[in-house]
Amino acid sequence: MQEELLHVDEPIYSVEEVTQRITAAISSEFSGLPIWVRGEISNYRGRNQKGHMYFSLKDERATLPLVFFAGKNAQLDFEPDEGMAVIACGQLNVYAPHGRYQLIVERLLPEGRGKLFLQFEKLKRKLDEQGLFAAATKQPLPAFPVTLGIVTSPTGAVIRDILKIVQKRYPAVRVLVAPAQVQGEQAAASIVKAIERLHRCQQPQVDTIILARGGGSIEDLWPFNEEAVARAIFAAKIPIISAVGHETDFTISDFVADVRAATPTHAAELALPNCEELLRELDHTGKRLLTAMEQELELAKEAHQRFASATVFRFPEKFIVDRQQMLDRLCEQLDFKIGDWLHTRRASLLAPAQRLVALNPLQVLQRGFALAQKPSGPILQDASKVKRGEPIVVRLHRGSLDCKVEQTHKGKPRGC
Amino acid sequence: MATKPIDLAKSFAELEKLEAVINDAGRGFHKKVETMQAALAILHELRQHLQAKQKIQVETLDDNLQCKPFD
Repeated sequence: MQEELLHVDEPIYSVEEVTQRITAAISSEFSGLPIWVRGEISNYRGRNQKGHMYFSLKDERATLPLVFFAGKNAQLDFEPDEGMAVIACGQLNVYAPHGRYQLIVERLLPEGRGKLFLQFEKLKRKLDEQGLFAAATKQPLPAFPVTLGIVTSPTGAVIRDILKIVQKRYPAVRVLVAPAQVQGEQAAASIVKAIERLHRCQQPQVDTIILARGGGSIEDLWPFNEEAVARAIFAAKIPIISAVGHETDFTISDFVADVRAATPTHAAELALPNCEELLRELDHTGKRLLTAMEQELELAKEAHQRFASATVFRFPEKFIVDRQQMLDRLCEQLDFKIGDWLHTRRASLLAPAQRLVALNPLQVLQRGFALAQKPSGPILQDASKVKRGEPIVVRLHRGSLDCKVEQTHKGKPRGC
Repeated sequence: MATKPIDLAKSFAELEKLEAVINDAGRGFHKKVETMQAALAILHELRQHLQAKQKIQVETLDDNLQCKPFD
């Protein structure tokens, strides 16, 4: 029978393989994310020598082993006890050597507080998905606020602490306190109204708001985890610093606000510049400017010395005499060059001028010839071009004769 | 002693601009001297403002947006 089973065409797993597949199945079932489990503590033995806690959670029908390592359980602010109703948060895994699944606890809360924590996580996830925590929506804090708004209880120690810091760091700022209840059922609505009031105030206009409350239990701080407060902070046009509880406390307000401060006094430090630091900065700036100007002065001195040592300033007469000599020399050269040029041009024009003189028809008149012209100008070359009785002008070497044609004799051209 | 309110952000920004002019190698000496005078004036004004001993003005903003002294 056993041999028959071995021949069945099915895989045969090792124990380790089975355990690995169970581990993978659990991881897949819960997407590898932490889960929350509610139950009663059972089999509680406190911390072992290394500080780890091993116990179980159970209800009517099931038991779940829990491992709460020292690194995580050191932050517990209550003492677990047998039968206590709690909510545990952690990741399921499989402990292969014992072949059992167990919850590796990251956080353990008493039942009541656990419910609030679950509400907190649910709202946080919702607001995060809606973009209320997005870095892109955060407004920058003004470097030098003129008016600081504070939403808090007007009677608590928190406002006194904040005012002390304001007085010390930057007393030039004007402070407007918008009183609000910071604990109890009416607190959320009171906080929302105070934020809105600071926004409506026009004289003076508020530059930065601090939303503050001292430390307390999760129940005490709960108003700062209300959705209405988160929405009011998100809608605010004035940058808001959230300073709720101690450094280790986180509220929804902290995530939505433009800046989270670890404590209310830290919020005042973030909101305001420090006069002493600014004065130190001014001193540095003053020194830098002086150094820069001293360097400029040195450069100017060097330039002055360079000019002062130049010949023109040391021996101005020599400079002028040198320039005068140079000018005379240049004038002489110019005269020579111009004379030379004129001589060359004159020589080059002489031969053409002589040729032009020789060709001048008036030169022929000197030898006794005369020119006959019509009064209108054309020179007569042909007797047939004039008529009997027509006036003509005869031009001689000296003067001219106004004549009238007595008779014309046609003939052939002479010299041809 | 209350000081004349000044726009600190504007003054610091102006001071930064003037410092850039003084450090600009392309600027002439006379321009730099003028700029230095302006920078010293701002430095003096800022120092006076920041060194003034004054008590903070704290008020309560009531529901009617009225400011009353805080006690």
